[in-house]
Amino acid sequence: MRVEVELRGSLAGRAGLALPGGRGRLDLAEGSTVARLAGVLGLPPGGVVFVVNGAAATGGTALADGDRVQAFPMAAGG
Amino acid sequence: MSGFGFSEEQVLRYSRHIILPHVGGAGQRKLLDAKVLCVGAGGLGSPIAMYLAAAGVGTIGLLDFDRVDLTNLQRQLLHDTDDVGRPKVESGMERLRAINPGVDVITHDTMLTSANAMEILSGYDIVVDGSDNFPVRYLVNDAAQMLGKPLVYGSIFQFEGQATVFLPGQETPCYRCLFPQPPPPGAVPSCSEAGVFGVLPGIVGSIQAVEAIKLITGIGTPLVGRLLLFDALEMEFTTVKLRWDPECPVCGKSPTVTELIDYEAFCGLPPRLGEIV
Repeated sequence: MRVEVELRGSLAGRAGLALPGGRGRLDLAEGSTVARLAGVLGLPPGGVVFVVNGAAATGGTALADGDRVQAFPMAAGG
Repeated sequence: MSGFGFSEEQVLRYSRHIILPHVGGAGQRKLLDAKVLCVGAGGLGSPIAMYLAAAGVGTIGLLDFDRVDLTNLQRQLLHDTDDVGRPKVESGMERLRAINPGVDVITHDTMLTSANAMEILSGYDIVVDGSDNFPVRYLVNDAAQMLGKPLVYGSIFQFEGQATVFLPGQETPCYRCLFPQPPPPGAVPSCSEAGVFGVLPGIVGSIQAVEAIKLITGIGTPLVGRLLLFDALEMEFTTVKLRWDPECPVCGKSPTVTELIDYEAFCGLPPRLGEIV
């Protein structure tokens, strides 16, 4: 399956060659989850807000062909 | 404006709110009667507390154990250059009283802990989180949920900010629904480690003040079940949906966390790490 991925803000440069520029389409194995996508992109298991088709997701969220995934850095500063 | 118990000075001071159709005298009365706790008197806490004071929120709690540092002044408008070295709650209280002497400011010159959180939060109607570390954010969330207090959440990182509202007891998401597990220690740098754009807390904290005032007055649609993400570099606001987790250990159907825990340990940190700046 193929998903559209966009890494926002300070995450944009984190994926390196896996996703140059922080955005593009990625081919994943059927049944992949957000956690697997994070692994492919080299993103830490925590510290990222994943959004799938406009809704916040967790690592266990299953992905489907055509999904749009955005990732934002988790923030705790005040 | 008889009937709302305003003084002449209050009628003038709050006139721009009183003539607003959505607020009016009734809304202003609610603001004057409201008690709001600001957790943190730093970057987010500054605009939150200042706008709430200006709006006439009758009782504002300022909680922070820290002292003003020169590095704070690039963004923390509660404090002046002359305040460096003073407790933040003291300089913050002075600023709020200068803005509006009619507001009762209660200072909590202490670190929020599992031992004092329930007692402190129980004295307020609404909690606004402007803290700066994960243990305190989980602590504030859990205490607010257990006490049934609305929580206005905001956080910042470099050029990006996030805000939402958690309303207990309504099958709407809490902080743990969004972040079931804290990130590994060190995975998310603090502002002192990674830097923070000075205006950013002004925007995110102002959004938190908006949401607090909306909750008090009952106007508009609160930012519940939605996470607002702000990117200052791209000047983009993005709103995403949040889902309530029926299995959430705090706000789910069968809570398993029913009293406050050791939040430093939960976040994999040594005891007493972190401060509100």
